[in-house]
Amino acid sequence: MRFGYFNFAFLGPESQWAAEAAECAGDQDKFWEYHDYLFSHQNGENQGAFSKDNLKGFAADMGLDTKAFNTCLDSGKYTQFVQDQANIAQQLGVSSTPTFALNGQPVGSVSFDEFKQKIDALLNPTPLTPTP
Amino acid sequence: MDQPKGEKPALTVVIQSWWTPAMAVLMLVVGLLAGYFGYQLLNKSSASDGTVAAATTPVPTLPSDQATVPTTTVNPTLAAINSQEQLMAFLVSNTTQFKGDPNAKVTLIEFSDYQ
Repeated sequence: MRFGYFNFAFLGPESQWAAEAAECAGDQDKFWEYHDYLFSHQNGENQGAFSKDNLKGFAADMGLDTKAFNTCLDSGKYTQFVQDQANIAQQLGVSSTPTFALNGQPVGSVSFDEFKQKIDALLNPTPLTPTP
Repeated sequence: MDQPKGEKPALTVVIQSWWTPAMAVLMLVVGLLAGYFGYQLLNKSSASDGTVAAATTPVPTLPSDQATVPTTTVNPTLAAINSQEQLMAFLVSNTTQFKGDPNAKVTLIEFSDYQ
């Protein structure tokens, strides 16, 4: 099982900054730690929880190289990347989060059991007629 | 022009000369032709996208088992995607952050916002 994170930052500037910040943390191999930290520090939308200063503070809390992190965030290294991802997601018709792609099959917010069924079906495929 | 007395008809067509109905027929034909051929022109790009893309750019065909290979070079445009394998390969090539087994049979990609 492989799990990927695709940025769909569509809720305003702090969404965009947070997504860029996580990619910057990824430069230091701390993407998933930063990702988890963000989700555990949500506090309203665009009310300052993910201001650039706070995002830099998170990096410091986690013991990242703050100089490299701040340079990355301030320079907008991942601005275009995050915007491109959001555009792709939008063109694919993603309109709510979370949305999942399970081996290319779109899955919305479903129960754990439904997810398990779908994954089990992929791991132990019954003979299928080829998809057109 | 003589109008019948009494109740007015719902619609009166004043035929001024022989070319009035002729013009109506002509415009109908022109409209039909414009619609028929104009529609094809408008949709030329999207309708024949697959063949055009195949002809102009060397997009290799994608074996289904390549879908979970992370270093795929296939990057079809969104419009050219017509299978789940292609969609997955496209998404994988546009995703930088993964965890888990890179050769896993199942890849789950989450679209999310941090807020």
